Amino acid sequence: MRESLERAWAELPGVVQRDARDIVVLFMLVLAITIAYNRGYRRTERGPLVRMPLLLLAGATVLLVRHVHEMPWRVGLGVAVLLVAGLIGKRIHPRGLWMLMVIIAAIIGSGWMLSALVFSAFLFIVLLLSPTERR
Amino acid sequence: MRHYKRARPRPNAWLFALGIPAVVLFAVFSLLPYERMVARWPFGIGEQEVMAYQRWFDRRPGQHVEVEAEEFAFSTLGGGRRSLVAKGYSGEVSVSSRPEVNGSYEVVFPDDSLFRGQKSIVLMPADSRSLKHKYAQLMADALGLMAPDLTLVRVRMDGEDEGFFVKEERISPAYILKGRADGATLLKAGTVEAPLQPADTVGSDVGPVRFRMASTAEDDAMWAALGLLLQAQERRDLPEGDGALVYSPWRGSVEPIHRAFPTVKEVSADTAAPLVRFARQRMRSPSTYERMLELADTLRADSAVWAGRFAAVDSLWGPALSEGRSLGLTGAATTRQRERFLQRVFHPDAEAFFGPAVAATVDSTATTALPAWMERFRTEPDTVRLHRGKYDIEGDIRMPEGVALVLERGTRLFFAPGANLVINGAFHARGTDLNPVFIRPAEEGGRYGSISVQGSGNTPVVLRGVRMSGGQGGWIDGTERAGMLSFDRSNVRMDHCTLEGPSTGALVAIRRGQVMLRDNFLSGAKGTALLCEAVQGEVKACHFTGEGMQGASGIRLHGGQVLVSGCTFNALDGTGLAATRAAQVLLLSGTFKGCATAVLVEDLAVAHVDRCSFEGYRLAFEVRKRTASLGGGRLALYRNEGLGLGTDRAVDRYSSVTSAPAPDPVAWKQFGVYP
Repeated sequence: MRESLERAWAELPGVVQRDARDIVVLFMLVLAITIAYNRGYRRTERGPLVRMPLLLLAGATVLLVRHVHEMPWRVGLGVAVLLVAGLIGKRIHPRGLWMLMVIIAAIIGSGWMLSALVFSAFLFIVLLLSPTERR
Repeated sequence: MRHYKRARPRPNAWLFALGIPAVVLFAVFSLLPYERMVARWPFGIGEQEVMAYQRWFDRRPGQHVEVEAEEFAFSTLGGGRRSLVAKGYSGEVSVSSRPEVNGSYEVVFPDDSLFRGQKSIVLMPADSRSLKHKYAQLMADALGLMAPDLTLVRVRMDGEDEGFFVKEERISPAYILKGRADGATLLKAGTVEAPLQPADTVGSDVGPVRFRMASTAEDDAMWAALGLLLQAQERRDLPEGDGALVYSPWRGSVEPIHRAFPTVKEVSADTAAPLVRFARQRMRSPSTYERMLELADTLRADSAVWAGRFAAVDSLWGPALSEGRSLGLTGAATTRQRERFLQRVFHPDAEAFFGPAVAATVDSTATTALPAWMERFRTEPDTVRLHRGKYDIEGDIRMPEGVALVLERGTRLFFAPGANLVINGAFHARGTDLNPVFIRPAEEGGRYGSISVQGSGNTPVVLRGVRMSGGQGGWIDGTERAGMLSFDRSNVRMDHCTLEGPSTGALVAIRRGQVMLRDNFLSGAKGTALLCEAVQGEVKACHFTGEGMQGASGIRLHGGQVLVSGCTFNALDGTGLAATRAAQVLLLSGTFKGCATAVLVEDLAVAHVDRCSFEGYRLAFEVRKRTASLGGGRLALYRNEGLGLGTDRAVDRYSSVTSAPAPDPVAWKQFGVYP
């Protein structure tokens, strides 16, 4: 089974492998940050672990930015994505988490994986050490 | 669903969030061994990003070295003009920024003051990728692929140090002229209408040239070499724009050029352009892929030698490319880069890199077969022997590879207008004074093409007692046949032959081979009677006469090394003997009568003239630089007669003439004779 999976993975085109890897990394980071964001002692104090629309939009951002190769266009697209994310952010909960996810997705899409990891670690610690308030 | 609103993070949260990752980064980048740091990182973390973090967070003490490199000092003169001072050069140049890469420059030198024979250079900021380009250039040189040399230079602009740059000569007609002795020319993209057909013409720097899609093993080797190097550098920019492909009229082939830094003009944006399609088709042909694997095997056999050569490059270039990093990291990075480059060269996967192989168009015009009448004279599997009698050549004949043609005494060949005979094997003519071999046009005053031998390096051509006239040379199968008799890569021996014009081309054209001509009579060429290109050998006791033809010349040597002894040059309206493109000639006991210019030496050629007599000339010696990218000529005169009656010499400032009473034994020795 494992060998079959490895063979299937090796036979995938390089671009698909890279996209899949980036999505997996994004998912892991989203998971970690959401845990820090939603932490609570009781089940009722915690929100859902990962919101599907947030994950889908962040994934789409990664793919969109990843497939623009010229640096000026890539930066422009990253900025445009953030602006759009900010505009539609009012309707998406949790809003703070939404913007952070889009920023991380844009960084991953730009190919700066180490920066995305460092930024996620930074956010994780900030969220972990900041208190939550019940509305 | 409950929604939570987060409180504002407290200062200690910010502090810890900044501090903990910073400490981890400092620890990782200051403690991680360099070999591990330059190796592959997980999660797709790229090398450039790692190096950027290393610069910030690697705090371990490191050694730095000063690097010595040639300095290019540019100064602004005002009015957009700049001057350049470099080793052995000082002058005004034109400097422009290249839009493709920030901080790069293109420098163009004036025609009368080239930089080491270079018309134009590109300066690219040196970085870690520069090493790959240098490896590729070294390998291209070894594989016979044209590739401009890359050197490391330090650039100063108005006294301000701009750091290290990699210098590459721009591909230009001047570059081709220097690098190729075969009259090769640059092709221009997009000058023919699609689809490209065999024998179409393509625009070039010297006008349209014929073009064919057929390939030879030699062509495959060039494309395979390029394919290997592009894979090793992980580059997908095939040579397809202006200045990317060179056409060789000697072989009728299109060869790629390897450039580290092609300009926008040199990469065609038009993917449907004929040359683009040609380049892609050529690169992806099954024979190229096959040859790529063979080349990789050959290179792998010398893997230790290549690793050593590249390590030597690393030690010279590495410190300059360190960008302020420690030597340890630079060493580890260059070692990894070298290993990856070699790995990709030794184990190419062309189909994965360039795509599946695509069968190339076959050039149907280049099929070789004997006509039925000639088959009857095939006395042995590899020999066609024509005996005494009359034979009509009514159209082009291409003899199969390896099949020799023997013309026995008394053979008479009559060529129809425009007909050619191409021999892909040995050629013998065995005429005598009483029973010569006659080769004539079928119609009185008619013009046919040529008899040409396409040899394989040392293919024998032995002609004796031939009387030939009426051939013009020309083009066949995309290859230029410059003479009535054209020999390529052959060992040519001719004696007691009489070759006559009128011929618009040369009477005899010999390329890349050996020559021994003795007691021949050549007359009536409108151009050059004997054209030798990259040839070694001897021309002895031959007679060249113009017979009043305008522009008629005797011998033209284009590269190579030839001893010319005991020859007479009569009534030549052009030049008796011309040596050009670094040709070396020893002219002994020659007689020049009524030549406009007796001896012309140009473009790095060297001529020694001894015991010659001159009579009725307009100019005895002309020594000059004709091509801007090449140097002047050099002429050495010894014991000669008849000089001083007209204008003896015209020498430009790039050339030199020396006179000595006794010959130089060292110079003589290289021609196999002693004074």
